[in-house]
This record gives sequence, C-alpha cells and structure tokens, in this order.
Amino acid sequence: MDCKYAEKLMMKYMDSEITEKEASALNEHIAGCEKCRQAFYVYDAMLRESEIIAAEEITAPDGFEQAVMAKIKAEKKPVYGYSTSDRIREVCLCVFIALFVSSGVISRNAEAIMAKLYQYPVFRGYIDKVIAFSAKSNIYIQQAADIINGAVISADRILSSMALLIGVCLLAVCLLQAVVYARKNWRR
Amino acid sequence: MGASDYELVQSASAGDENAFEELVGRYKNLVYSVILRMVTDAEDANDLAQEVFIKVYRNLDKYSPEFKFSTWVMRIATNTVIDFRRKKKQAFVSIEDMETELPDIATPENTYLETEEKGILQKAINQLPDMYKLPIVMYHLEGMSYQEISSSLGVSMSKIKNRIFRGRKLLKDMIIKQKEGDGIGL
Repeated sequence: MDCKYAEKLMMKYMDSEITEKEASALNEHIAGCEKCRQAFYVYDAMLRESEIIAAEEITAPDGFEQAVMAKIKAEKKPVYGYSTSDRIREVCLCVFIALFVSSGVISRNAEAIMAKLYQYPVFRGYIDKVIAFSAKSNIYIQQAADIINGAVISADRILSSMALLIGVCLLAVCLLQAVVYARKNWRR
Repeated sequence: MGASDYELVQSASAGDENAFEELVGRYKNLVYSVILRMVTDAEDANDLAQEVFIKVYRNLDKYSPEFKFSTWVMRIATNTVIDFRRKKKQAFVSIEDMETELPDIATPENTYLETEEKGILQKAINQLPDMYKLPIVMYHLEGMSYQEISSSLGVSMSKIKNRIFRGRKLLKDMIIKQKEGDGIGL
C-alpha cells in the first residue's frame, strides 16, 4: 500500500466508513511508515477532539426570538418624519407655487416690467434677445397654425393654449403630490 | 404533533407572526451554533444570527418546499457569515500565518491533543480559509451529512468531500507544525 492510498483510508476512517479489511491493511501500513503513523495519530486525535467540541451544546441567547420579532415589527412600521420623497414633494409644491404666482404676475404686467427694466443698460441686451426670440417663435407658430388650420387659429391662441395645458398638468402633479404628502402626515 | 415547517412558512407568509416566531425557535440554535463556530465572537454571532432570520422573513415567498427548510436557512446563514468575514478580512489567512498565530502550549505527553489542549484544534479550525472551514464545522462539529452541506452551500457533493479532506490535511499539518515548533516528537 502506498502512502496516498493510506491517507484515503484515513479519510474513510474519519467518516466511519472503513471496512475491517481496510482497517487491518491500514494498520499494517502505519506500523512500517512513520510519516503515516504520525498523520494517523493526528487525525485520530482530531476526530476525538471534534467529538468533544461538537458535544458542547451551543444555544442561542435568551430572548433571541423576541429580539428577531421586534426587529421585524420595527421594519414593518411606516417611518414617520421627513423621507427623501417627502422632501421632493415639498420642493415640487414650493417651486410650482412660486412659478405659478410669479408667472401670473409677470404675464399680466410683462410689458410694464420690461419697459421698466429696459431703462437699465444691464438688462437691455437680455430684453432685446427675449423680444427677438418671442417675435421669431410667433412667426414659426403662426406658420404652423396656417398650415394646420388655414390661419383660423392665431399664434397667440396656440401659445396661450400650450401655456394653459402645461399649467394644468403642473397643477395636477402638484395637487397629487400635495394629497399624498398630506395623507401620509395626517396619519400620524 | 405540531405544524410542519412548510405549513408554518405558509402561515408566516400570510402574516402570522407567531408562526414565524415558532420557526425561529426551531432553528435558532442550529444557526447560532454554526455562526458562533465560524466567527467565534458571541456578540457578532448573535447579531448575525438575528440578521439571518430577518433575511429569512423577508424572503419567505422565495422559499421552495423542494428543499428542507433547515437547508434553506443554512444557506442564508452561510452566505451571511461569509459576507461578514469577507468584510472583516478574516477569510484569507495563509498557512504560514496560521502557524505563528497558534498558541504556545506545553504538552506533557506524546499524544497530540489532550483534553486540556482542545483549544489547539479549535484555533486551527478558526484559521482555516472559509472554503474549508465551513464544511469542516458543519460536518465535524454540527454533525451534518455531506448531502446536507452540499445543499446548504450550493456546491456539489464531490467538491464538499474534497474540501473536507483538504481541510483535514491542512489541520493535521498545522497541528504537526505546532507540535514540532514546541519541540515535541512522536
């Protein structure tokens, strides 16, 4: 028997799968092979020691189940306070209100405001650009309107309809977010 | 006779917390024992074992009755403990390092491990890389079969056998080196 096979038999010994015939062959081998004899002693000692260690009963600490269940319950509870989504909703709400109010004020008094600002050289360049852009876009929109409706609808009408549509959409989003936010916080 | 594991899983999935608490009670010692033998620190073991059951709870709907519930729980436990040890960078210790980390123990006789020296084997097991340590702990200290270990770790049975054989050889070499370092011969 070679040492490699002897080691295989030692593994079978550790698994309690060695036959009597194999055991006597292994005995014969280790009687004449010091290296395998040493290995066998160690394996045998390891086996006995592992049985002693395994026999030491390890139990989970007292109150283990309760601790687990408490953590699970804590996870289930809704988290009150400011969550990231709450903050996003708040910002949405504030931005929308600010834009809604300011755009209303600006659009009603656009010409007066622009005339006032035009007195300052700092704003003059910007106002020129805005007027040029507005004129250009009016031309494009008028052309589009001409094509679609044979000039029945004016460019102003299209612009105001688009603005109204966007405003209504934003208002709907804003209201939805406000309702979600209010429902969540009133539940407290 | 009480409800089967699968019946309890179904009740727990439907929101019955008592059913889940019973499952925890059934498997807490197995999970805690394997984890404690892997990480050796009782506080870490307690935290990790609780984490295992929380993961089990969150994933109850993914449990398939084709596996034993204990096997499924053990798979979650072993993955959790491997992650933990990886984070703690304990997993890969070279054999050379193991030798120096083993304790100095004066041996009175020419037997390798006396009862009072059982710390040698435990320390040596602790120094094994996880791929050998887990199967060795599960087989020799927890009394699990090759089949159960194979299912729990999701590794083929032949690989598990090889790892256990290789792990035993590593342990044997570590113990012999330790003894030779202490000047003890046969």
